Amino acid sequence: MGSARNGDEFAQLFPHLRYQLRAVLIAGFGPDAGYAATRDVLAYARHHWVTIRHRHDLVLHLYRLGRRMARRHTMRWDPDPVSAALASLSVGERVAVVLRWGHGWSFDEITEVTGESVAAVHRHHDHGLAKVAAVLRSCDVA
Amino acid sequence: MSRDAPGAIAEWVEEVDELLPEITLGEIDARPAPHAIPVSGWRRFTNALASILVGVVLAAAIGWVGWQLVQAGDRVLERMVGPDVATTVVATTIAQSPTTVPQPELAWTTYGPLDGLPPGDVTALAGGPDGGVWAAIATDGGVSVVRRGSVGWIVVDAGLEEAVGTPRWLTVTGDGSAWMAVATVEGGERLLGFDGEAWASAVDVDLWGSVTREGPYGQLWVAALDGQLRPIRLERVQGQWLAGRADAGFPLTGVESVGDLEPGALSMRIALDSEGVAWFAADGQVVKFDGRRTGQIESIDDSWVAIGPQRDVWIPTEHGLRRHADGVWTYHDARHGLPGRAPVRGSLRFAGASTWATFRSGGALQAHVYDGETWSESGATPAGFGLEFLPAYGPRIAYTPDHLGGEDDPVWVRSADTWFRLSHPDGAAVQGIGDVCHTPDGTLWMAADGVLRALFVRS
Repeated sequence: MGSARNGDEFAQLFPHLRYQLRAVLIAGFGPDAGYAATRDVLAYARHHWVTIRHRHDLVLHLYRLGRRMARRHTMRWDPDPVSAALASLSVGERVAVVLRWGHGWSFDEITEVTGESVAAVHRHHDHGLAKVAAVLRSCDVA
Repeated sequence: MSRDAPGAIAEWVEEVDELLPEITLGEIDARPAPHAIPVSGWRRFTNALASILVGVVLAAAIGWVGWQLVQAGDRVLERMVGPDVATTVVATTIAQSPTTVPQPELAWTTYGPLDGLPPGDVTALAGGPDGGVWAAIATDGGVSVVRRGSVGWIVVDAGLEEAVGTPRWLTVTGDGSAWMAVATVEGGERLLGFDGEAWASAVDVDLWGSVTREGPYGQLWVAALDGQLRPIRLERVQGQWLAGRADAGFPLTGVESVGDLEPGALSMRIALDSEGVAWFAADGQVVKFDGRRTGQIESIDDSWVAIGPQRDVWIPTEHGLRRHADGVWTYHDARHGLPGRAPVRGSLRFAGASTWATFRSGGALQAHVYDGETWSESGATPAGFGLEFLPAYGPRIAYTPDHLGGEDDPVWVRSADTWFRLSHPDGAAVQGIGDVCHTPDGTLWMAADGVLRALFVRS
């Protein structure tokens, strides 16, 4: 009964966890590695749900696990200008700009998932967006 | 056409979302548990460090608990079978445990019935001329006296019928005679003498206040109250106990009648030099007596006298000290580095060529040392206590001889210019000291709470 109840609880939270982890891991590590890491970390959460279900920082905990899982996969970026621009950013910068402009998250929402301070997220966002703009401008000029 | 960065990023996200399939719950359920998550080298290092720290803390906690259990076991053992059986445990434990007694290298030995002592309260101690120690014990059957020789404790006499009470003091003279004052149940004191074979009532006098005894040559001077305060010389001559009164010029002036004075309000300090000359101090005067009264010196009201190893006589003045050496009196006061006031009563001590005195300074006692030429300050004594010495080690011990038996911590030990409070092996302070004596081997003997203990200072 306990197992079933735990399973039901995970199933109820699954869409929420999937959306957040997929968004942040793909933003940080690209489509291939981020997607694979999302599947890995969701599977981990599924099998260890009993021990992690009461964590108040559940998404942050799974994101940190996902970061380590993502590094087991190879990051691959397409040759298009936007992918190339994102590839030139750091993980923190990619997460900040992609979640902010690709998913419309607020800075507070980004800090809740990444565990960074608001100032750090702002800094990553500003630097990352400037770099992306510079890369896109250079592509247009070319 | 130029694209703005936010818009380009939004388009990239839409493309990726369309490209990648949705992850389903069924797919997740079907996946096996992922392999162990790789841990970075730094994390592995910090985890190992944390494990080591936890292990050290746990080991320390287990050690502490074990030590407390050993201590508790010692106390239970001592309570069950008496202090003598616990002697070895206690002495060993204290010597090996730097945490219990952070003092110089000390070793306690406690003596009890299994060492040959009659069961009872040890209340008086004395050093013998051969370097041994004598102890007087109040037992249910009367006073017993033991002495420690090369083969252990020997009962000199057990259950003295003449003495039922608490031994107040015990002294052993150079000819092997011993003297003992015993508090009687009637409230007085009885003086007993030991001629080497048996104890007997030595003299029938009323001893008064703080009795002083000396006797390197078989003489014993006591202060006695016979309507007036008089010194009495006790001797054993040809098998007879003799009490000689120094009547030439005695009693000291100002003590015509004790009236309603409380016991102890009057006191006489007596000192004998190596030639047998007696010095008496009482009531603001110091008197020299070598068979006849030969001199009277004004002193402070609460006067006392001390005689050093060179036959130098010291008496207190209002501004310091007065010294008599080689027939000449000299004054020692602020001009010589002293505080310019009278020293603490009876605080002069001699250690080798040094003379030590303590003076009140605020709420503390300040020690000063005289090297034969100048006085110099030697720091405050702990908790305002006067100095006492182990002859073999110099100024190592501080206690308050005037307050023996008090509830405070009366004994401190000094090592490397630091004072340490002397405590029992279980950490409790030394209290209830009834008597203290030194033996030439450097041992401090103590009758504390009725138990005989010996303290060896090894450094």
